[in-house]
Amino acid sequence: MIVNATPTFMDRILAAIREIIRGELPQLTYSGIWEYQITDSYDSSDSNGNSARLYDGTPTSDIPLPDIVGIALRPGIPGMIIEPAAGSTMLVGFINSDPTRPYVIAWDGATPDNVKVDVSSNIELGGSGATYVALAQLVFIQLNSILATLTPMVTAFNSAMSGQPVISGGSGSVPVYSPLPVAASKVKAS
Amino acid sequence: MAEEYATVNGNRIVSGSITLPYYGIGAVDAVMAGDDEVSDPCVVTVGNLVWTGSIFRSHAFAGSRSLRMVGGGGGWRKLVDSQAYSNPAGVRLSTVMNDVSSAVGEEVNLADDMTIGTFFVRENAQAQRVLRQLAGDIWWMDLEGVTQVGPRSGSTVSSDFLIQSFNPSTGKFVISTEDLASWTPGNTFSNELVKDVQTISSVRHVVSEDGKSRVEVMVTP
Repeated sequence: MIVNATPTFMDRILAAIREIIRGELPQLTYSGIWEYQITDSYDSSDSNGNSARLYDGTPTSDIPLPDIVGIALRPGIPGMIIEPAAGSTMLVGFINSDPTRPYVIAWDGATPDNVKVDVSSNIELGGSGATYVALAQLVFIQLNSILATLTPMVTAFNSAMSGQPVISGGSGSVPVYSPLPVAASKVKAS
Repeated sequence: MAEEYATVNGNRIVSGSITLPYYGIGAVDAVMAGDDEVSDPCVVTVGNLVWTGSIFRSHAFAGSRSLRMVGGGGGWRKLVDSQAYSNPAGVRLSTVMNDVSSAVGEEVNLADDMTIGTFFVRENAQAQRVLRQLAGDIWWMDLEGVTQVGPRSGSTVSSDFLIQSFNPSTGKFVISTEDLASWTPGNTFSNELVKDVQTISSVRHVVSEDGKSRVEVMVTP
């Protein structure tokens, strides 16, 4: 922890010099990055009317700034929306050292509840040659469609083979496998 | 009893000066005839110039009292608490300015109100810092002690005056006049000796122990 170099008025000359210098740097406080405890986050709109996740916070230590309400995130990855875990901390900065433009610029390492990334074109992972991923729900639907198509055929075949000699190593009927859900537990895409 | 020429709350000033800058707050240094305490608000009268301020420093010494006074309520040096403003429709400059000025006992008048953004995060600092953040250098305190946020305007000095001296290197005039109230920053003057119109940058009204007064004027640029 660094002790803030605030002027002491016991030394009037030094205090006067420091006041002059501070007077030339009115934006100094807003050039810093400040740690806040997140007290709430919610979906709303940012100052441009776009949908956004907004955050309320309270300082984690004795800093010269107040509790803050309804500020948006400037994510490292554009289009990213973060729902933080309870008790997370965020870092707040001010664009162009402007006290009218506070933004969340970073987080602590706590695992967030949800992370969303929205794009207008593509998200590509793994470098060149990337192709579109298959969505588990759509794959499941396709597999179930195949199952629905094949089941009557297998049922008819099994019925036709009933009573016939069993081929060595065979089971006497063609099994039907119902597809199981294959969706990942934490990753979604559209 | 003859009316005193220079007084603070009606008490005679033996010597002193009133300094009026183009932007910022003016100040008065005065040595009083007696050592009686002087209380705020301080109304300083020198001729027809009336200036309102408050005591910054006061000391009694050897039967007289010396005062340093600053314009207005002396509040801009006071600390204000941090406070956040948020309005999706826009935070008004007047909202923030009125809050900070009233918190420290000052009065403010805006030349132009405007929306400053959807947020304003006020820091815990001297109120003058908030004023500087919002108004930059473009603010000044009038003779009544009201902080004017916006540029100064001026008028032409129309009353008689004598130029006692002029230093072209420093752009400094020494003027004699009965009309002290006209000699404030932003006003302009010229006469047969100074044909180019001069704009007053700062003024220092000086009252000396021998009962004489003079006006020291620095002009722009």
